[in-house]
Amino acid sequence: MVKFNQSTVEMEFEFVCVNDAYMNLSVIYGNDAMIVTPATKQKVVFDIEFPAKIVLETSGKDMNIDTLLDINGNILADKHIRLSRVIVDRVLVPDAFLQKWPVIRGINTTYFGFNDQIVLDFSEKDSFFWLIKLKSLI
Amino acid sequence: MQIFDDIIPVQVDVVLTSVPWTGTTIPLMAVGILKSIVLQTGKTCAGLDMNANVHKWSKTHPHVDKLMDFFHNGSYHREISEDLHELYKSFAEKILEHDPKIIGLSLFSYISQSSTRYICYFLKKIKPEVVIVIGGAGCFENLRGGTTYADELLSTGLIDYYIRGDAEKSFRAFLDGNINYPGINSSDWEELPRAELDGFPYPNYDDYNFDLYDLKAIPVIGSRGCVRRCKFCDIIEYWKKFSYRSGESIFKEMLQQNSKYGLTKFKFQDSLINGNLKEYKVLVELLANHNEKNPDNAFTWSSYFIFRPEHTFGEEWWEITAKSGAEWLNVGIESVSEHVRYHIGKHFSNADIDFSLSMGRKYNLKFLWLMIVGYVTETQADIDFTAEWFRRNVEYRDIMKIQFGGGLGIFPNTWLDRHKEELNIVVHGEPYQNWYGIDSGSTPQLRSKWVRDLSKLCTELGFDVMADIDNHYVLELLMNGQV
Repeated sequence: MVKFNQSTVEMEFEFVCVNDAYMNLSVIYGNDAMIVTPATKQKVVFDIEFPAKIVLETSGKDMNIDTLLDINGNILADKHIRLSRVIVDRVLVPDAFLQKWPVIRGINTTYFGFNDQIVLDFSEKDSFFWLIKLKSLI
Repeated sequence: MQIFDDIIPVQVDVVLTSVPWTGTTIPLMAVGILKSIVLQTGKTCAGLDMNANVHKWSKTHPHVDKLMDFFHNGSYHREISEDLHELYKSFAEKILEHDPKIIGLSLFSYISQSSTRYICYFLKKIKPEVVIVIGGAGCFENLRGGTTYADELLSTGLIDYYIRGDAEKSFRAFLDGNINYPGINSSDWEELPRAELDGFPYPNYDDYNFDLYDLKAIPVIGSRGCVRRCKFCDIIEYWKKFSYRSGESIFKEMLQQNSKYGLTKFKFQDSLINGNLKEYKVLVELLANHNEKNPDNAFTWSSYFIFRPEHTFGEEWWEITAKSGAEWLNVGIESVSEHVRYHIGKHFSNADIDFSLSMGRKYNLKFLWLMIVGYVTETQADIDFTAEWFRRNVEYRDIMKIQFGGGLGIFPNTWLDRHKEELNIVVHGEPYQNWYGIDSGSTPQLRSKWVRDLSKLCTELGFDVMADIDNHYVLELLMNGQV
């Protein structure tokens, strides 16, 4: 018997290193936590049950040294993680929605440059209802 | 959901079905064609036209406009979300009740894309291991252009394969395990050569429920491509060459389908029936002969058709056309302004139209006029001329239906699309009626008004003006400035 509220979420992250180190990322769902091995591109797969929240916990960035600036204050490099792609039950989440989805310190962005907790909200009763609604939220 | 209750599942190797939404009163034939290909391989197959079930259900849905908005654009409306969930789940479950290993989904146009995404979603959710292959013009921006949609579905695992272009050979190759055949998960595909068109098995409609259609007719295809090069048309970009079947082969197919399904009405689904006059003559003479000898089982047919000058299609052609059982001839007139028509690339005169109408009157033939309102060179003066033309020709209202459509759409990869800069028009994409003429001042709203004005006038004059859900939806968008 298929439980339609059970879903598979694939998230793809891009890590950018500075000072020979990456930020750390933990993906937390309920009592499960996964520490993501940093890589230029890294895919994480989670099985969830709608409605659900996934928490992304970022750490390991020294705000004093991990953003490299030139003498004029322009950013040369910044240690960060980017959420580049999300697929829910094999359906690609539109990029236009993705850019507006995570909220960090009041700003909608997929660029994670702080040590922080980001909550991804899957708020409907199953992924179909969540997915068809996305276009109205763009 | 009871929409699909008429489909009785039996265990098969392959299920093929059309995918909503296509607004049609007759069966879609791609599935019938492909089912016959599957059967040739020795596999078992159910060939379903489930779009027909959804079409019937949609027509009486209390939120039909919102359904159309979802089918066309994937737009969200809370009022229909439960129904869509149930619709697509039931759709997938009904397919899977046949326990197939392979599922083929046929997308007639891009308007099937939203439905395909969520049908595949349910299919893979319920049975992840089932192989899904999609095909049809609706999978792609156009048949020779980008594959963004199909590639996305492939990359996320919603589908396993897509097939591009004519599928008679490539689908056979796919079933035989040759997945490197041109057109399978690739942009390159091969047009079917003329010599091979007569060699394929006849379409198999055994699993179609003919009670679902307003018009109980057997679809037939006699050709690919077109003999004309109209500037708005994307068909000629898909099929560069005009290929046609022999009149004899078409006639044999009609005889077999008549004996199998007991239907005497046929609807030709290709771009035109009289592209090759030699084969057309063979066909209509065979049909006329059959009808004369079998008055109780006489065939009738409707088809897309081109008007030709009197010197190449004189009265004797009209007479045999009538005897062959022609009922409705769907003619792309596009405009009654000659200069507009000539710019399009349709080189028949208004005198040719007058002659053709008089022949229709004499031989009891009916015409569905397909009009394009707001062609790039069309002005208010042309619209006024068109209105006057219909007033002058009101005598033909009993043998004509008119379809004004949703105004000119400028589709990707057409001549108009490639020349939009020199025409000084700006195209904003889907819906493809969303374009602006910088010099002419032509806007979606103006063209929508022209469509409505002409529709109203012709209705008042007593012409039968066709109104379908799709065009109504597009016109609403244009009129309300929602594009």
